Parts: sequence; C-alpha cells; structure tokens
Amino acid sequence: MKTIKTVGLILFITGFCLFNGLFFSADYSLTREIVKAQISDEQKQALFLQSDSSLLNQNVSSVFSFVTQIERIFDVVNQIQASTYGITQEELYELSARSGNQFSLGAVDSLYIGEDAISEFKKKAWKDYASWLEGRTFESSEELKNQLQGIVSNINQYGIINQVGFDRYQIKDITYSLTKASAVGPVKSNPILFLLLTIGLCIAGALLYILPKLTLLPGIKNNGIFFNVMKNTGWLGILTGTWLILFYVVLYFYPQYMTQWITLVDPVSKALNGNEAGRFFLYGFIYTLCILVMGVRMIIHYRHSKYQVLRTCSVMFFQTAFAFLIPEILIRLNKPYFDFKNIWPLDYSFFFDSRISELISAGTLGIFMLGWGIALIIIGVPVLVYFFGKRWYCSWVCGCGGLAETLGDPYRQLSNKTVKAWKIERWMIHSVLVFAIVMTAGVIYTYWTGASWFLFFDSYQLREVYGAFIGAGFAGVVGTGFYPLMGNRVWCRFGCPLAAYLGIVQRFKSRFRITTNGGQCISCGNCSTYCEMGIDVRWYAQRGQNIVRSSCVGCGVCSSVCPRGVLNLEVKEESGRFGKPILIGNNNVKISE
Amino acid sequence: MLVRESAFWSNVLPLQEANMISRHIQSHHVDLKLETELKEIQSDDKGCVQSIVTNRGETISCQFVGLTVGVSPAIEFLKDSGIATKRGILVNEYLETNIPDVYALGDCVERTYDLPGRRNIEQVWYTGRMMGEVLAQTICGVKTKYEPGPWFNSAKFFDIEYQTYGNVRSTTENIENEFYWEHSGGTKCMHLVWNKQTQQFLGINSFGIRLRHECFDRWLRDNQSIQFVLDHLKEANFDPEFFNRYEDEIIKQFSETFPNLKANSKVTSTL
Ligand SMILES: Cc1cc2nc3c(=O)[nH]c(=O)nc-3n(C[C@H](O)[C@H](O)[C@H](O)COP(=O)(O)OP(=O)(O)OC[C@H]3O[C@@H](n4cnc5c(N)ncnc54)[C@H](O)[C@@H]3O)c2cc1C
Repeated sequence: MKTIKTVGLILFITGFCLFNGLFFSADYSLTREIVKAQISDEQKQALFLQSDSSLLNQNVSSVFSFVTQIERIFDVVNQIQASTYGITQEELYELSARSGNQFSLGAVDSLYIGEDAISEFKKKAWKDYASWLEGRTFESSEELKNQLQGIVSNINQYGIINQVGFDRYQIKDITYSLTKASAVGPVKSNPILFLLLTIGLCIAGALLYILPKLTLLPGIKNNGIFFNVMKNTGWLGILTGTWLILFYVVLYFYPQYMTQWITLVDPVSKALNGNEAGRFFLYGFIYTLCILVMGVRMIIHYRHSKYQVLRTCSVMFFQTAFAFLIPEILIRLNKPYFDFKNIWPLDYSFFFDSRISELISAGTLGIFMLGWGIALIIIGVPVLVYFFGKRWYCSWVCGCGGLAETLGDPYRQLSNKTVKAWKIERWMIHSVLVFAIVMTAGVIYTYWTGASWFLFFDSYQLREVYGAFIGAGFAGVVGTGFYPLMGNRVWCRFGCPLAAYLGIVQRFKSRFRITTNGGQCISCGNCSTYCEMGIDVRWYAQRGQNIVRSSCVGCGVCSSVCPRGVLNLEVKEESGRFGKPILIGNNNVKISE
Repeated sequence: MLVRESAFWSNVLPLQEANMISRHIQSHHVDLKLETELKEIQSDDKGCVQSIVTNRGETISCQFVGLTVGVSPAIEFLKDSGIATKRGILVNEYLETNIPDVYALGDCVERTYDLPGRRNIEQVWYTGRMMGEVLAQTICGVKTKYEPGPWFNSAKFFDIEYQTYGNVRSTTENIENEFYWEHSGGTKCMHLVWNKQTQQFLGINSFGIRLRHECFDRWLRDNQSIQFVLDHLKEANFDPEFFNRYEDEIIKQFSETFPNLKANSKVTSTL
C-alpha cells in the first residue's frame, strides 16, 4: 500500500511540475494573420499593424517580454491617435473666444467646418462631453475657459481612446488573445498529450495516493494531523497557499500570461461548447476535477457516515452538472450561459444590465432563467433554510462550499475559534452583504434610468470595485488561496454575502439546530477543532445547550468526529430550538444563562 | 495486548459486548492475548525494556510497556495532613473532608455515605465533572449536595462508540432478565436489562448506535417498563440523518424471544 501511495505522490508531483513548466514552454510569434483574426475592427487593425511592425514575425521566447511589447504597441497607437484627434490649445482658445461667457454647441459646429473624419470626431466628442453646458452662462469668459479646459482633457484622455484607440479593457482582452494565438510550442501542437501528462497525471497520482485509504477500517482517522506539514500551516501548507494565491492573481488579473494552460484545455472546450477555451473554462475544468478527485477522498475518509457520503455526492453532482456541464451545453445550443444553482448575491453580476439584456433577448428560456434566479433569492432561500437550515445550499449544493468540503477538507482544523475572530467575521460578512446590496441597487437603477450616478457613487465604478475586491480578490485569491493558512471556509465565513443572507434566516427563522445530547460531552474538543466555520461547538456542548449559529453550514463533521455521540444535526419544530443550557445527570445543579 | 479476562473489559461489560469489542480490537491488527497475564519485564544492559514474559511462558520483544491495570487514588502525600482517608479521600455529601474548607472530588474521592446502586469510589469522567459543578455552587455561596441522577457513561473503542444508561452489569443478577441484539456486521449491538418480576427497565448498553440521554434519563427516573422502552426506542435514536435504523429489527427479535412481553413497535412518536 505504501508503494502505491508513493507512486501516486511521484506521479502527482511530476504532473504538477510539468504543468508549471508549461507556463514557460512556448515561443511567441505575431503575424499579420493573427492580428487580423484577433482585432475585429478593421481601422484599429490597420493602426495596430502600421504603428510598429518590429514585432511582426519575430520569435520572442519569453511571454513577459512578448506581452510588454504588445502593450507598447497599444501605447504607441493611442499616442498617435491622441495627437491626430486631440483637441488643441488653439482650438480651445478659439472656442472660448467665440463663446464669450455663454457656451453653445453652435460655436463648436462653426469651429470645425471640415467634413473630414477628424473634424467629425471632434464635433461629436464636444457634443458627447459638453452638451450639459449648452446655454450655460458663466461669470467671465475666463471661467468658461477653465470649464472647457476640463472637458478637453477628458476627451483627450478618455474619449479618443474609447472611440478611435484602445481602452484598457480592449488592451487586456486583445493582449490575451494575441498572446494565445501567437504561441508556438509543444502544447499548441499536441494539447491532448500535454493535458494527459499534466492534469491527467495529477488525477491518476492523486487517486493512487487516496485509494489505499480504503484498506483502513471505516471510522474517523485524523491521527497525526497536527504533525503534518501540509495540514498544520507548515512549510508545505505555506507553499501550497502561495501557489494557489499566485494562480488566482494570474487567473483574475493577468490571464495574458497563462495562455499555455488555457490552450491545454482547448480540445475539451471545443468538444463541449464548440469554442476555444477561455480562462474561466480552464478554471471551471480544474475546479470540477478538484471537487471530484478530492470528493472521492472525502467519501473514503468518512465512509462510515451516510450523511457525509450523500452530502459529498451531492456537491460533486451539482458542481459537475450544474456549474460545469449544463452551462457549456447551453452555450453550444446558443443559449445564455447560466448556472441554475448560483444565487445572487454570491452571483453578484446576476442583475448586471448586460446579463439581464442577454436573458431577456433569449426568449422563453431566458425569461425562465431570470424568473428562476429571482425565485431562488426570494422563495428558495428562506423556504429551504426554514426547513433544512442553510446547509441545503452551503454544504450540499454550492460550488464554493463544494470545493471547501472536498479540496479544503484536510484544512478544516485551521479555522480560528476565538471570540475575536467571531466578532470580525460578523462585521465583515454583513458589510459585504450591505456592499453587494448597495452595488446591485446602483446597477438596477442604472438599468432602469440609464444614469450611472446613484446616490453617492458611480454605479459602473462601484460594480468594478466589487468585482475586483470581492468577486476576484476575496472569493478567489483569499477564499481558496488561504485554505492551507486559515482553513477552508475563509470566504464562506468572512466574505460570502449569500452566506450572510442564508445565515440571517437560519438564525432567526428555521427549524434547524445542532442538538447536544444531554450531559454526555467529555470536553475533548474535537467538534471545535474540526469546525471549519470556527464555531466553538464545545462551549455549547459542555453546557448541554443546542447550537444555533448563523454561520453553521451544517457540514455535520462535528457530529462525525464526536467520540461520544453528543452532537446531532436536527430539524424539529421551531419552539425550544435554542434550548436552555441543561446538564442532565446532576440533580442539584442548574446552569444560569 | 495482554488481557487477564476471557474477553476485553469483561469485568465491566457482559460477555457478548466484551467479545464484540475484542474482535474489533483484533480487526485493528492488535494482537489481543486473552487470559494472559504479565509475568516479567526484561531489560537490556542500558536498563531499557527489551521484552516481556507472559504467564504462559511466551516472550514478546518490545520497546515500550503500557500498564493499565486500573486506577487507585494517589493519596500517600496526605498521610500526615490530618485529612481522613481510607482507599480514597473521605467526603460527605457536600464533598467536605473532615477539615473545614478542604474539599475533595473526582477519582481520588471515597464517599462516606451510600447512594443506591452506586459504588463509593466512582472513577469516571462524568461523576468528576458533576462533583465539580456541585462544589462550584457551594464555593459560590449556594451550599449544594452531590446527588447524581441515573447512572450513565460512554467510551469509544477504536471506531465503536459506547453509551450506557442505568445499570447493565457484567453478569445479570437473579431478579434480572436481559435481551441482547447484535447486528450482523459485528460492530453494533444493544443490551437491555429489566426486572423479571416488575418488568421495570434497569439499564441499556448501546454500541455503534447513539442514544438520546434525555430519553433514558427520564425513563429511568420514571421507572418505565421494558415494554415502554421498546415502544419508544425510536424516539431515543440519536444517530445522524440517513443512517440505517435498527429499531424494527431489534423489536422483532425481542418479540420473538419474549412473546409474552410483546412490544408494540407501532406507537407513534411523542416527540
Ligand atoms: C485509560 C483511561 C480511559 C478512561 N476512559 C473513560 C471513559 O471512557 N469514560 C469515562 O467516563 N471515564 C473514563 N476514564 C476515567 C476518567 O478519565 C477519570 O475519571 C477522570 O479523568 C478523573 O478526573 P479527576 O479530575 O478526578 O482526576 P485526574 O484527571 O486524574 O486529575 C488528577 C490530577 O492531579 C494531579 N496530581 C496527583 N497527585 C498530585 C500531587 N501530589 N500534587 C499535585 N498534583 C497532583 C495529577 O497529575 C492529575 O493532573 C478513563 C481513565 C483512563 C485512565
């Protein structure tokens, strides 16, 4: 058995090292054809090709230098466009001279009399950026000029880039697609082989490492867990956390560097949805595999408990079918991408105008999806939490929960159990919920009115801040990267706005509780140790009190690891749920509350 | 592992349970040598243990010996203190020793008064805890007697959890009747004992099936009958959701063994 485990470990490490090596495996060669294929706007395409051709047909061996050079080209193009289309100081003087102290767009029309593209652009830019000043009278012509100066710098800084240059979103997208298309190397020519040699080998190795656990008798086997450098925040745990954090940073913020990894799964993506893979296809693919492989481990580890086995099967199913396969198939059928089990506000972009428009324009199915999503928020969450507790979602259905309960299971003992952590948790998670609600209110306001300014913020800016800090930073980088450092539920415990919403219902209106079995607790502390949400379960069990906590995701591990059968997840009538502290067995002792 | 008795812990557990636990211990690859005692510990030239010899003449080489032959209060250091001791430190129902403001509790204590059905030295976790609770109240100004309710205890043997409520002795007494059920998998069993004449339920041992303390505490206090307990056995189940339930099987076997004590498994839950 030991040999099989060792072979598994070696295979896994080999596959993993090769996977990392692929990051640097390609050369990059940009051609005219690639530019033409990746930049759809013909004018911009031409600009890109004219401005600097030194990179064309060159062989660049480093992805970093290739990306830098591409980005330089975008800079050059934008500079050229700025000098071509930029509104000059002379024009500004002339315009202010003609306007006196009252602004009118008529003056703009009379300034640019040409019919050429540049004049047309400038006229339009003034209309877009200055029409709100129309007819306004100023104290002095000097003041008007100052006002116009601001508008000129807005046009020169943003207007030109947006209209005739490349804005930062385009630069990001096109840099990514140019890099991916320009790569030449082993992965490009043989993606399937390398997929098998990297991810395939990792899966095989992991399974070989896991399956021998079957030779141990069923039952809780956490022996030596705090002596394991992977599981006690030792060097291996820190290394793993660092790798995960880097992976997420690249995935969310610098995808242009990881095109080799994405190319690896192109064949899978094409088979499923007909298109080349994007970064989130790669992510979803690896994510699902992690849940499946580590789900097998979870099932073996807790195979004496039907609750844990069924629960793990459930998260494996929902991830594979609902989060991964169905959305891909929907794309193949030309329907909107939709994860039927994702719920706002975890799915924070559910009400974004682009997605609502997409659903509304997708016919009956789209309307159904919209209705389904809303029904989950206002009916699904409260009703199911009332009957089952928030676990129906957090530890049976949710993808974040699914990863935490499988890949993250070896780290559950690392969650902080202090009262201080609990306080921080409550402040943080409810702040994120408020943030998500305010952000979404802004988004919906903008959708109905078209105005981007809502209350005290710009709704576009706010959703971007939310996406970067909460959606990517918190849920991804911290949420998963910190598994080996702070336990497997950092996001669910401190950040997830949906968990906050589910938790409020669970705390105030639910039949769910963890029952303490009379006076049987022996204070061993296993329950608190293995509570991934950092609940000090023992504190309740010692005094014979039920555990009703908004954060409890009902994973049932406290009950599984209890050596005395003290804890049980139960749904019963609401009354008496909180329960008074009782210590059965001792006639004369009552605990004061 | 050497065990003097014919099965593991059979001085406390009835033979059926002791045998089941013995098999479970062996399935964990522990070489359980029953009816065997330690005769000699042999050392090497550095004075470290090298091997042991059993009373059957077998020599087993080893680097470590764990002796677990029971506990007795380590109270020699109190010899000249004036605190009254016998086998343990003597205390009254307020856990007071013979010297004012000196209390004793836990494993080291020997009660000077009798509690029905209980020994005067009770070396288990729960009694220690309960004495602590009582004494804390006394010290905080509410003078409280130590009066434990019905007996209960629990343990875990490798993967098998054990709970007991009331009294199930290693051998039943004359007036007692007993019923034993064991699951075919050999890791779960239940043992019930009641009074032959009155049918009063006296105690239960449960292995591999969790039971609700609150139910058995109440039923023992209310002197419920064995029929009542079987009728309500389902209510007392404390296993997690989706776990297999065995009450029907247990009740069926019980009715077959004691046809005139027929338990009605159809009683609806009152919980
Ligand atoms: C192997 C084993 C398994 C057990 N399993 C169970 C079980 O499953 N269920 C159950 O209910 N009970 C079980 N017990 C019994 C239970 O552990 C004890 O009843 C309980 O721990 C007693 O608590 P206590 O505080 O009275 O004594 P202890 O926990 O023994 O504490 C006494 C303390 O006093 C200290 N001490 C002793 N002499 C001195 C001195 N001169 N000066 C200063 N300090 C001193 C000792 O170092 C010790 O820390 C088990 C016991 C053992 C040994």
